Amino acid sequence: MRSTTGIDTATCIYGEQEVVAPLIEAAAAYDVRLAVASMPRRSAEPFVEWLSRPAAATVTRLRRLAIDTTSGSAARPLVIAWVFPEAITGDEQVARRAAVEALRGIVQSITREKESDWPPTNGIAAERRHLASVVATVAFLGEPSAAFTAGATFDLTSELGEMS
Amino acid sequence: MTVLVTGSAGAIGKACVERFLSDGHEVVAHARDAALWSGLRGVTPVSGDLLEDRCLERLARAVDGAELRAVVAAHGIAGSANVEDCHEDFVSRVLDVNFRTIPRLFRAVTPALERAGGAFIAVASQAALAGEAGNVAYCAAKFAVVGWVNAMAATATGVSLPALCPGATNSKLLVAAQQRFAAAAGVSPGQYYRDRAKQISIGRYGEPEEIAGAAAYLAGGLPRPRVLAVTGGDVLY
Repeated sequence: MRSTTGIDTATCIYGEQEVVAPLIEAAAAYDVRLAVASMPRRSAEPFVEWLSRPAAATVTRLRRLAIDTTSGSAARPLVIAWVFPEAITGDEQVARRAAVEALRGIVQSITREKESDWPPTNGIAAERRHLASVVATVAFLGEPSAAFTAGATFDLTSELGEMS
Repeated sequence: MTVLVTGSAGAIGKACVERFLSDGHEVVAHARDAALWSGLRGVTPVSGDLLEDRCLERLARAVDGAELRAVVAAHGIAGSANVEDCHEDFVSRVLDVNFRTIPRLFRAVTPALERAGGAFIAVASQAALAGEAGNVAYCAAKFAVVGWVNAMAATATGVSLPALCPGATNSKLLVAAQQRFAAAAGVSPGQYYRDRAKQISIGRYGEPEEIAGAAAYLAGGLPRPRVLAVTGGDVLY
């Protein structure tokens, strides 16, 4: 792991850090900036704990990157990963679906705002049990051949059929 | 029949109240301060903050027993800011008002809507369909609204739940947002307005009455689209 504090490294920016530690560790092998939000397992208010707070943490992270002039190459991709527990209740499934779209909005907006003087930015949404899929996606986004992939959100929750 | 309109002091909400009144409905008009509707026949004003339970309770009481044809959730606050200016408190506030109030309001009025087979129309934005520069907090909130609508379609019974996504519409909210966009772009608000209008396929901004017309269509009771983009062709969906 390069660091858990710098803005140019793999970092857990919200929630249960120990859950995503293997992901952050694995990301060190790839040439990406990774910011991970790890949603708490049981939440009385999933709209808050799975959406509003991670969104605020993510935008705060982007803000830090925007105002920090020592954050390294603009070519090094930025990956924002939101990792969810398995959604059990109907409310949790609805909140997760809304949250994935919030992530999509953030990724699209920052891509439009910053254009070419900003790292290619993409989002990943997945369940905890599929961290390997997140790592594989991070690996892909770290490849030179992925340099044209920007502003996309990889919704691995729907790919796995939970909400289909 | 009755229609509840939130954010009725704003341009789109106000136009919705006037449209549903002219269509012969009773209207419950919510705003943080709904005094502008006091004394107007056919309108029940309800003032309050949708983040507060007591406001939701008042709204639920106001529609209890009514044949509730529709709820138009037209409230919201401006959220435009470059990412450098997006402090955490600001982002949280935009998400709270523009997203989190929507499921809270829906829960409060669901019994009345289910009884009448009504529609819950969530007014989102074209910023819910395509990311916009200088608008990251607003986009997060409005994308979440459309995500919520799509997810709820699988769970809500007997209630139509569309998202209405207006494009650039003449309103105080838009003027305020565009003043910030203009400042960021280094041009005058008037020049920004003219340049922006040229980018819209039909060459002009929308009017609040046109968005109210779309809301009346979505409240019509027959099958309707889940997401309706009314953008003058600016964002296609």
